[in-house]
Amino acid sequence: MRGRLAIAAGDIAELRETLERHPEWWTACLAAMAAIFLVAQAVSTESIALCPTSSATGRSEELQLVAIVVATMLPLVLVPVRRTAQASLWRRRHRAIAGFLLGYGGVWALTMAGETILAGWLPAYAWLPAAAFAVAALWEMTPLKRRALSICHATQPLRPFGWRADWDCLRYGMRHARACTASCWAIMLAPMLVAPQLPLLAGASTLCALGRYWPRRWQRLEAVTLAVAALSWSAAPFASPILHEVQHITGLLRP
Amino acid sequence: MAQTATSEMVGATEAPVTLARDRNVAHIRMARPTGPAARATATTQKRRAYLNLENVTSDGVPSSYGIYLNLGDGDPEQNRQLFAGLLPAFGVKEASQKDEHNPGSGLNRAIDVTHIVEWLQANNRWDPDHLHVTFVPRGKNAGEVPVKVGRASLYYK
Repeated sequence: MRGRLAIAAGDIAELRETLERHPEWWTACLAAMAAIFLVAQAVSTESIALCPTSSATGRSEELQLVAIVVATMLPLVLVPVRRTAQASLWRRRHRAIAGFLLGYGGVWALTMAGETILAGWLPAYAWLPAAAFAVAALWEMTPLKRRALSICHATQPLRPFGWRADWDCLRYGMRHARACTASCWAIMLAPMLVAPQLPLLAGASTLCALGRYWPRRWQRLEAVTLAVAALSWSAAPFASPILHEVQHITGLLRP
Repeated sequence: MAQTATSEMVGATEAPVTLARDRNVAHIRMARPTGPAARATATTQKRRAYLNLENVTSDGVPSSYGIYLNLGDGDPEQNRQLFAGLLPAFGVKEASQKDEHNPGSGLNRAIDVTHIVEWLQANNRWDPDHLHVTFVPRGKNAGEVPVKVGRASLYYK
């Protein structure tokens, strides 16, 4: 019994050390919870489309927008979140993270809201999503995009005490979000124009994460993926009747 | 697998310091450790002290600066025991430029200052609330190109 208690105490101490070494753990948990919320909602409504304007109320749309921002963007800032905590006094570490996330999330929420309004305001041309993917593919190949991505790794001095420390964390988050927005606006706009769909948003978020965490990847990976998406979207109207026919035939053949 | 101890920041400067021809002092205001560093003290584990120089930037190639802890008005040559190391100069200009490969945040450098802190404590020259970091220009052309230290901080590990 005493031995078991000692093992349990050892496990708890090890868990505490791991959490202390990774103060960004609750940021990752927030992102995971938001992703689970979005998937659960998609499953419950039997639709992969998010923000369905016909059924969702204004509040649930806002909630979904927040969930989209949290699920897709927070995984991109785990490193600066950890850096913010490590550069703060021990007793202020989680407060510093909260300040960073507030600044970061605020800028991204405004950006996503703007993109949603833009998506709703634009006429529903069939070619628009394909054009958005094509623009995103082109943007990925510009030096401006690479420069914006590079600034996503910027750090800044954080003052240690008082409201100045809070302000610096907030400003660091906002600065990071501006760099993120400049880097990822095109990738995130394309899925919003298609009417935000879970797989598309997950794909866009994965592309953004690849750019952030895998610097040694093939540098044209994102551009080629987005170009393929643009081509697929362009071909969809032609493929749709064929798919329909195939479904019809297979339905007739089914015993 | 053995894991390394978590570091704890216990103090940092409130404003960036720009270094030029004259010797310059950065004041680090410190707080009492409340995390792993405090626990290490309670269990008489040896803790190491690191001076962290963050976001060191310059428009050109700066000359060398010697870094001393709690030197005050003292002569650097007479106080070699307070010498922590040299300010990083190699690559500062490149690391300060925003481009496709660099965010322009400058260089960071951590210097192990455990032996200096221990010496200061042993000689009653250690103030747990304040630490003074003195940057002393070295060489004939010292200070011609200004260099900025974004933040100096002290970590225990």
